[in-house]
Amino acid sequence: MAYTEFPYQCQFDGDGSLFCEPKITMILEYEGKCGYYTALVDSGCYRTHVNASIAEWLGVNIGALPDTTTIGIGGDKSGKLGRMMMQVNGLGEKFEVPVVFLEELGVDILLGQNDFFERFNVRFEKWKNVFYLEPAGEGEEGQ
Amino acid sequence: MVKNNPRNKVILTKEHAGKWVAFSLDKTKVVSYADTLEQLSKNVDETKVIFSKVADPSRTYAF
Repeated sequence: MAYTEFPYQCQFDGDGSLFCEPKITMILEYEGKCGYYTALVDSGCYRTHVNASIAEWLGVNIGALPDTTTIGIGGDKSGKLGRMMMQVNGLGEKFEVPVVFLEELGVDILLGQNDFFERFNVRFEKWKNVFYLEPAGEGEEGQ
Repeated sequence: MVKNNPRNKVILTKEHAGKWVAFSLDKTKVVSYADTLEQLSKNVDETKVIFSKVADPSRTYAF
C-alpha cells in the first residue's frame, strides 16, 4: 500500500501567520458508542494519550482505572491507564491500544510511539504542510 | 519556506483558539464550538461531526 497524504490542520494565529498541526481524524469506540475525533500525530510521545473529556463522552469509567503518571516538559501529571479501540478514518484496520486518560491534556488526542507508530509509517513534510501515513508492514509479507 | 497547500483550507480563526470545535465530516466548515466537549456535544448531532480540541496559537505546546 502506498502512503496516503493528509493536510496539516491550520489556523490563523492572530498575527496573520498560520499555526499548523499534523492532525488526522480518528474513530474512537467504547462499548458500542463511537465518535470522530481529531488526533495529533506526536512522535515524541511514548504512549497514546486521550483527553479525559473524550473518555467521559464515550462512557469510560475512568475513576475505576489504575493510576499512572505522565512525565512531560511541564512536569508530572496524574492520569488513568486504560485501553481504547480506534481506527484512522478511511485508512487501515481498527486496533486496540493502551492509552493514558489525562484531565489536563490541552489537546484532544496524542498518537504516540506505542502503538500508533508501530502500526503506521509516518512521513512529515512540514515545508508543504502535509504528512503521509502507510499501514506498517504491508507488502512485506512473503519477501 | 512552507508551501501554500490548497488542501490546508483554513477554517479555524482566533475565536476558536483553545475551544472544542465540531467540524463537518468533510472538515470544510465549523458547525459549532464551545468551551467544553460536554457543552458542544449538546449543540450538534454527534454522529455527523468531528470533534477537535483546538490549540491556542498564543501558547507554546511541548508535550
